[in-house]
Amino acid sequence: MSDGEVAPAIFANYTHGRSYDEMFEKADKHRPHYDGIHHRLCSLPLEQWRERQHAADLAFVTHGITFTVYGRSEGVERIFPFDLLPRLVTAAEWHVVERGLTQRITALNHFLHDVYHDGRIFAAGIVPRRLVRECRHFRREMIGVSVPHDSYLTVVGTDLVRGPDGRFVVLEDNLRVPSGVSYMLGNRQVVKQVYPQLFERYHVRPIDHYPRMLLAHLREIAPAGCVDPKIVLLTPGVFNSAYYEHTFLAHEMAIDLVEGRDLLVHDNTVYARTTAGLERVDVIYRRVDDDYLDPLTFESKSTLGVAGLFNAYRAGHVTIANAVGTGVADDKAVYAYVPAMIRFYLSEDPILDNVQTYLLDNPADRAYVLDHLAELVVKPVGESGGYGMLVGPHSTAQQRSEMRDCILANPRNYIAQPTIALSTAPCLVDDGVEPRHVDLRPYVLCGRSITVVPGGLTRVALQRGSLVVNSSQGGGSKDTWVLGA
Amino acid sequence: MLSRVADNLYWMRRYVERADQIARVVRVNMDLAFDRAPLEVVQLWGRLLSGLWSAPAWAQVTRESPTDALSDLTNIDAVASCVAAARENARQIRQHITGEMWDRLNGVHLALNDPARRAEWAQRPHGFFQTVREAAALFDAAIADGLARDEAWHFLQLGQFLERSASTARLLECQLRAPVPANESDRLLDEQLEWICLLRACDALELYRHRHRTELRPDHIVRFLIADQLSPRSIRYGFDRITETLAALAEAVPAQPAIVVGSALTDAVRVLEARDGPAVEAVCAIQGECDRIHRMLRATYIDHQQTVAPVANEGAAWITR
Amino acid sequence: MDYTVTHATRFEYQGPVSESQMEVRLTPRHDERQTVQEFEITTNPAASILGYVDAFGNDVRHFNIIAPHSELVVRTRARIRTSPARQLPERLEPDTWSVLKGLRDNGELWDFFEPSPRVPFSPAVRALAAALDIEGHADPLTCTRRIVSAVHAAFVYTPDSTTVDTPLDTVLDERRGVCQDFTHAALAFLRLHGIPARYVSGYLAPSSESSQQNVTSHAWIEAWLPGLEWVAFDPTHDSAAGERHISVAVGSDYGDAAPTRGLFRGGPAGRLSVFVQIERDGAVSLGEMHWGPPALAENAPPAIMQSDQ
Repeated sequence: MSDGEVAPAIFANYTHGRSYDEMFEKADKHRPHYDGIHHRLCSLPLEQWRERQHAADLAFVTHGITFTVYGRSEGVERIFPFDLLPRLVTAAEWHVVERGLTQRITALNHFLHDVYHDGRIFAAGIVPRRLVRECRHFRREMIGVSVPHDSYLTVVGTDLVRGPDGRFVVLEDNLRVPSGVSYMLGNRQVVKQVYPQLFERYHVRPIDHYPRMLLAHLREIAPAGCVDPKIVLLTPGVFNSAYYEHTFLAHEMAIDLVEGRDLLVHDNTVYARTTAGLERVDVIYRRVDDDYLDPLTFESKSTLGVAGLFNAYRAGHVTIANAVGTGVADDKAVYAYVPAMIRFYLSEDPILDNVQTYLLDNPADRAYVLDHLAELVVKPVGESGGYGMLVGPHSTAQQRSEMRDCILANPRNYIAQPTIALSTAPCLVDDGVEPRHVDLRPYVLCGRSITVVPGGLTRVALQRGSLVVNSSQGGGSKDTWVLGA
Repeated sequence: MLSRVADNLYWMRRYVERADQIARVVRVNMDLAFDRAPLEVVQLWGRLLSGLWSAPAWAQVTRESPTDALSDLTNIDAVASCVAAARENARQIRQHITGEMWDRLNGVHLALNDPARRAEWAQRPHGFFQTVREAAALFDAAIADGLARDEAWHFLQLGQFLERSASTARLLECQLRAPVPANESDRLLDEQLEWICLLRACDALELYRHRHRTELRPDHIVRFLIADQLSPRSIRYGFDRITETLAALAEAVPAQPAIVVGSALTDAVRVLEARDGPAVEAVCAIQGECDRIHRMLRATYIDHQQTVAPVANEGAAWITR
Repeated sequence: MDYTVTHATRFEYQGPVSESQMEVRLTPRHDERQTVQEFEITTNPAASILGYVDAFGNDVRHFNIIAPHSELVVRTRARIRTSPARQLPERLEPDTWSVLKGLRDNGELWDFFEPSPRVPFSPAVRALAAALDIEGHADPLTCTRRIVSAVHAAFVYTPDSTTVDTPLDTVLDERRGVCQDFTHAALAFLRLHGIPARYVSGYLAPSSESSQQNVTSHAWIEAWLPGLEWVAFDPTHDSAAGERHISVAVGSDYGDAAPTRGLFRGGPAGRLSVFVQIERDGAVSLGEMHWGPPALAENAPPAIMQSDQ
């Protein structure tokens, strides 16, 4: 619609703040690529939208894309809240993201190899060796171990946010066991049913072949000499909250979903116990944390893993994806050094910036942060899911005081970042359409080559004004449309 | 397929069959109780009960008030624990069963553990039987219509028919072992009634009548339950399905040796035909065969040990104390 | 000195177990102070014995046994030549403290500066360190000697008073333990003083005077000092390690250097017994030791409700 026209009622509560809004350049002026969406929103009554949202929710349940909580006595299935309005990214914007992520993950792979081999980046004084050794996720067992194609990372979920200037910056990398892909795929499935025409008109780039792509990457990293590698997905089992995703991916890739007890290591070779006997396993896509992978090498009380697995891995007889010990590179304090890693390993300037990060182990940074707790976001370095963090502007004095104590007790465990005004995107709420803060988690697949999946999971903070998008803490998601050129 | 999955499928099906069986026996006894003196009922009850697999709550089944059978929760518990076991197995293999199979199991599990429903059943027991029977039947239908006839399906078939055949044979054994009193007047129960109860416990009364009209002759009944080829509740029928399925499984998994059904059933049929000795031994042999097949299944497809030749160490001199 | 060491470890299970996985750190070290002429390892039941070198440089051998077995014996035999006790200076320059601090700040020798699972910097540890009043201002070598002596004096060597899992705090509380405990205590105090130190497991060959001495696995410490690198001291005996100390494995604490570690499937844990024999110059000494619950974790499959009738 043109300037000067009155906004339709559906946008009556659409406030415009200092965040970048995905859809609106300013009040009453939407961005050109949102034409189709805007038109739909204006032309259909709100009740119809509500009906469609309801139908979408139902579709999730019918398709079985649920967040299942398996208690001892009940099997309650919940859906991950989903908003019907897609979040759009233009081809040009995506091109930058794609190049930036490819560059970043290439550098991270180099870093991982370096950390567990020569340590050149330590010798060069770029990254403190001490910082890395102190990481909870550093695994000395990986020192000197070779992985196929030096590819430590197979599935990466990097969280991006768009700042007020409209540029995407990297919030954090998730390099151990990133999840959420099943929601990305589920969202797409549902949304395609709701907007088949719009979808086609926009030439939205497809993502449905994710499982096939993942499988192809997993094949690429099979041990040398493997002709037809047997690939399995190792799950912790039914109690894991992401279990649905494990079953979904295993099914789509047509590989066996196994638990630790299904596998056996004999003479440094991994086997699956099948009705046809022991079948050699070559690649394990594991959704089990390092600590629980192998009770012989790691946590001895773990029943989720396979005794002797790491020895077979070290000997190169099985590939584990993602590699063991990658957590050392998604530590939030190490994150601060990623731009430096890009320069060191690739001699390039980073295409995607980091968010400014204060390392609380650093006295100057610490002093600044303790003085400005009410303005900053403080996070523990090794956690995910948004736990243990303080969102300064939304915190109470009590919470800040507790965080101060935590920081002083263990400064190495925390980083702080300025609160970023995450971009907002239109979401369907009871009375119409309102802006909600969003981030973006694209998924990147690596093997011999790197594939950035176009789109990813747009996570939404469903509460008005909230900045917390994590699924485990009341977030929801949207489908992400990367537009064809 | 993964051995664990095959194992879970097999046990899931066995437990559903078992739950159905227990509920049926409880029902038979309930129906009997309305018309009988308590002592008679208790004796028959005891015989039928001992014919079933021991379930966790079995030991506590009280005999004093069979008419209050269902307010005595242990009977529901016996069924509930089988269903819980079935569901637990199903849960581990969700992705290998259909949504409907899961819903049936989960639904009956929730019902059996619902205090409100239990209270209701204490007043109106037939609701309990109906719930269990329907759940089992619909679970079966979900399998029949929802699953491809692949390896998974073979394990489900074997679970069902091994459990059913063994259960029928055991019930029959108990009946055959019942002491025959010296005088007819010492009988507590009409002999006919005993056999009717047995047939009902095996869900075979109508089938029997269809084949043999209303005449109830023990030797006919024994032969019917063991050898009738056409009735789905006979041991013969079960063994035919087992034989077929073992062959199909051997074809689906050529890497393992085929399991062959032994002669226990054919021997039993021969004994019956020749009226050559008591049928009890033959029926016990059938149970033994069910057990043997069960163990072979596990040894071949589930628990198989790696048969890699051990490496010889040279010059190993062992320490003695 | 030339030694032949025979070491046998027997695991007796209460019932047959299957699928055992075992790692052993029993190969004596081969370095400037000690050479290994020969090493042999066998198992019963037989298994393919594989190996690797771990992050501490230990020669690790490992194997697995699938078939059911009620007993597992691992036997090694090694011929070693040890060197006489090292000549150490009386002291080092005080500024070597700053060298150590530099290494620590730079993240070097990180495993040996920092606390580890069996060597925590607990309040009890800190309290005893303070109470022992070890002068930290002298040079690191003197400090090391003092710590070793202080530990020797503060604890009573009491065989069978602790197990492999007894926490250090308990040892500090009761002031008694075995060589593993003396070693962990010394490591704690050394590290608290900023001296990187590691756990050494190995054997102490009997002295020529006593051929009836019990021979057991032994433990002591090695401290890393500028200019000297790894120097070995024995807190249990308040001495520098000498040619009777045969080193086998090193690590941040016992957990990294345990002679054997493993898991098995099924059945309750049984009994572990160890037999070590060290021969020198024709003299034979025999030792036998029985430990209680073995250093094995039972790895039973998670419960699935099943019944075989």
